[in-house]
Amino acid sequence: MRRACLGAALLAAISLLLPAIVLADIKLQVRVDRKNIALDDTLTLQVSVESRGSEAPDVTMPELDGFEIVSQQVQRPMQFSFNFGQGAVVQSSMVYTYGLRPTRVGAITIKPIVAELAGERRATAPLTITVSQGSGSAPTPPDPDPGTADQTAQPGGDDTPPSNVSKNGGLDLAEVDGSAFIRAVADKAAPYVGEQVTVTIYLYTRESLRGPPATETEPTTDGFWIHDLLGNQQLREQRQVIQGAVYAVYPLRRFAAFPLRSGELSIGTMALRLDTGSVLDIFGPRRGNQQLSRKSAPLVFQVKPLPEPTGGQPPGDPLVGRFEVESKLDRAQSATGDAVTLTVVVRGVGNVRDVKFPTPVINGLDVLEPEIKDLIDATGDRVGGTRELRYLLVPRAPGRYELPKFELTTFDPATERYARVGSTPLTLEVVGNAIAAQPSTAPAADDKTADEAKPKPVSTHEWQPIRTQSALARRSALFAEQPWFWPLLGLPAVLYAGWQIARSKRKRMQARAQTAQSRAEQEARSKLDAASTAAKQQDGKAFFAAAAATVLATLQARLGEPATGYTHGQLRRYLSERGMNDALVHEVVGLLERADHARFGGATTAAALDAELTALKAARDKLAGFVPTAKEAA
Amino acid sequence: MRKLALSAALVLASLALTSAARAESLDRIFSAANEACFRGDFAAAIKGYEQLEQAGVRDADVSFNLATAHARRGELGAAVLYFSRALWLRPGDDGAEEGLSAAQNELAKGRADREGEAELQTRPPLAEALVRPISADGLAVAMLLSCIAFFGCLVAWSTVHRAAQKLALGVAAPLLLLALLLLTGGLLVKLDALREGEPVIVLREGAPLLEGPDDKAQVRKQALEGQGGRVLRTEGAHSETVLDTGARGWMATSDLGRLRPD
Repeated sequence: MRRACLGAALLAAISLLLPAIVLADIKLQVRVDRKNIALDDTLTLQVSVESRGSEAPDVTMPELDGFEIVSQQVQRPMQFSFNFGQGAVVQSSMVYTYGLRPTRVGAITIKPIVAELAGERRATAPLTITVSQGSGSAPTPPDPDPGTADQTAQPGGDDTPPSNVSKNGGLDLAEVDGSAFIRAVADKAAPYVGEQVTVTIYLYTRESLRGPPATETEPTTDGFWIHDLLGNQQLREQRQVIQGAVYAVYPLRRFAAFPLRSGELSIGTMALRLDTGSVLDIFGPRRGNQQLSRKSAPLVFQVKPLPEPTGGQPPGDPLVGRFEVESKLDRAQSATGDAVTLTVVVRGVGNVRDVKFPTPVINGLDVLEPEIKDLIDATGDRVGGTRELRYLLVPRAPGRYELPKFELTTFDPATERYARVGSTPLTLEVVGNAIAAQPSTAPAADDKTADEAKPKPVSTHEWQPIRTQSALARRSALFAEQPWFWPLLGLPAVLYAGWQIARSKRKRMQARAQTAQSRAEQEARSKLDAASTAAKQQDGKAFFAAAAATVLATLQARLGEPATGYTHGQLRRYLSERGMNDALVHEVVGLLERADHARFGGATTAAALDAELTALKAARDKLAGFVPTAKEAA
Repeated sequence: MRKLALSAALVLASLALTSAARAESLDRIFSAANEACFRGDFAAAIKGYEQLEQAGVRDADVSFNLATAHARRGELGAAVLYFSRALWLRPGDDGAEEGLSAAQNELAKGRADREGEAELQTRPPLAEALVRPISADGLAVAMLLSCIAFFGCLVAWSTVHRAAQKLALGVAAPLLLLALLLLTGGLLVKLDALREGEPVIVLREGAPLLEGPDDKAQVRKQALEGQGGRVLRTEGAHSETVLDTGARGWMATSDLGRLRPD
């Protein structure tokens, strides 16, 4: 029982996975517009890849050796689902279109193109293109590659197909068929040059389709600029009754076409192949499988030139539509040499890609070619949008610059009137020093003299790839060019010299102080000798004079400065402040007091003098151990 | 005070925004030029890179790409110029070294094919070769450090008492002084302070070296594409030039590319 459950679960899982495997089907197709081409001609290579399922396959293009890619276009994937009684079929398609210019004469082979999805791989057969010298080889008819050629189905929106033919002066062409037919509708038959014409191509069918219709021929649009209007909308089937029969209707293509010249222009036919019939559809008009081919009628337009304006020809080529222009600077003040961005925005309804302004020439300002960004908007099937032109301005000289207005002449087909629209003038204030205009550092890419424009022999050397990352650093002055560099370099020498001067000065002062102290010490010793002699001779006056001189000289030697000029009280305080202990202060000042008394007090005995001499020597010994504190600290 | 701080913050914010916008524009030009290069539209790529240079960008990578785009167009003189400029901006850049050498080889090969022989000068003078891998800023910083170290050594020598330390400092100080003198010389070479004129590269094969600043003046010699030289002065559309070979005369300024843009 358990095993049976497991088996049932496995079977259910496989049945769920199976559609996914089926959906991962890839169809790959390559087309070239000719197989013989001249060296100066351009070949169009179109690669269409289709897959069932929501994922787009990976397409690997080979190296296109022998060709230079001059243009490249990718049409976005389109998806739609059909309900043909077999479950929803989701289809994605991607079309890569390359403009290739041969770089050499002879047979050039385009190697196989590979598409892969979910492990499934498709590769095309190699294509050989014959390149001849000279120009003017006639294009050969399109060369569909053998193999699968199924392509596209078209998404649809809520665009109800018109029920009447040729309304509002438009075109509506269809050959009604009982099983299926294609209807091509344009909203105008005689537009002005540059005016939008909206073209829609519908598939009408009463048959059950077994798969999406295969496009055999896309409508040609030579002489028009085209903008797709269907995009990625989900296709919606609608029903319409034609001549009493109910048809399912699918919009296949819807695009805005802008005629680029006057005269007769046409949108070519679109051819489809339909696989019809389903055994399950017992109510269908026919049973069994059938393949139908249908094509639309070409739409021919009589494109009118723009009418002559009243009051003379407006300046410049008129732009068809309704537009407004505005301009702005990223800042109103700048320094010389600093880049300022001037942005001009043209916005409105019409083909904004036609907007062109001559690059303004302003004395003192370098105006670089603009960077152009288009934003196309097709809301309500009217194509319009915004073209943004960003100019980099580099001021070379200070001053006030009046930037000119950016003006356009427009022609509105609805009112058949010309108008002149423009931006407001702007002012840029520039400060700083004038910068010399840059002389050419290399021949400019597009201003070459006839001699320089001659093609140079291209070397066969394999040059390194360019770098895609850059800090885009601006040049700053080198350290050695900075005004502070050389003074900074001299600073260590200056500091060293200052240090040496201060050091030698300090040494000199120390030496001088040492000399004064030793002199005082010598003096003290000689006075002590004199005191000893006087004591032996019992000359009291001389002894006490020498004793007082000994004490003062000893104090000077210890303190580094004379100790004279103080009263005994002041001397006592001063010695205490210089860190002498009280006992020694008392002893020293006592000696001086006794000496003063004795000098004025008459004779003394030999024993008393010997005792004083001993006391004097003891005091000197103690003073020898005395270390005074700094005078500033005292 | 609060108002002042607020206004200062607003001014700073607006400055930051405008500089960010400018940087974005430059980035876009760089990307567009790179894309043009990838699809083989070298003329458009060169134009884009030149726009960046005109906008004040002095970047070795931009110069490298400009050189490569010129090289792919076969404009090898301009390739030599911009590879050399990339090396001036970023000494020792391997890619630029390789590109410069390849451009010079290609020029010599082409000349040899045309004329049967060609002289290829790839060795710069010894002093230039010695300082080539070092940037001027690197030399300046090294000079500053060695100066500080030298005087520091002198101070230490005066203050230490141990004989071994004194000996070590006594050996180090003269060596540092020697290094300082060499670095000063190197910096002067790097800044071209010892040579007259401004370095240039000849952009056109056979560009005439004239007797005077006039197209009608007698031709003294014909310069070679990619050849180096120095511009001494400019008069009108001509510049008095001394080529690396020593030949002196007047050349059309448009035939010369300045190695250092400013």
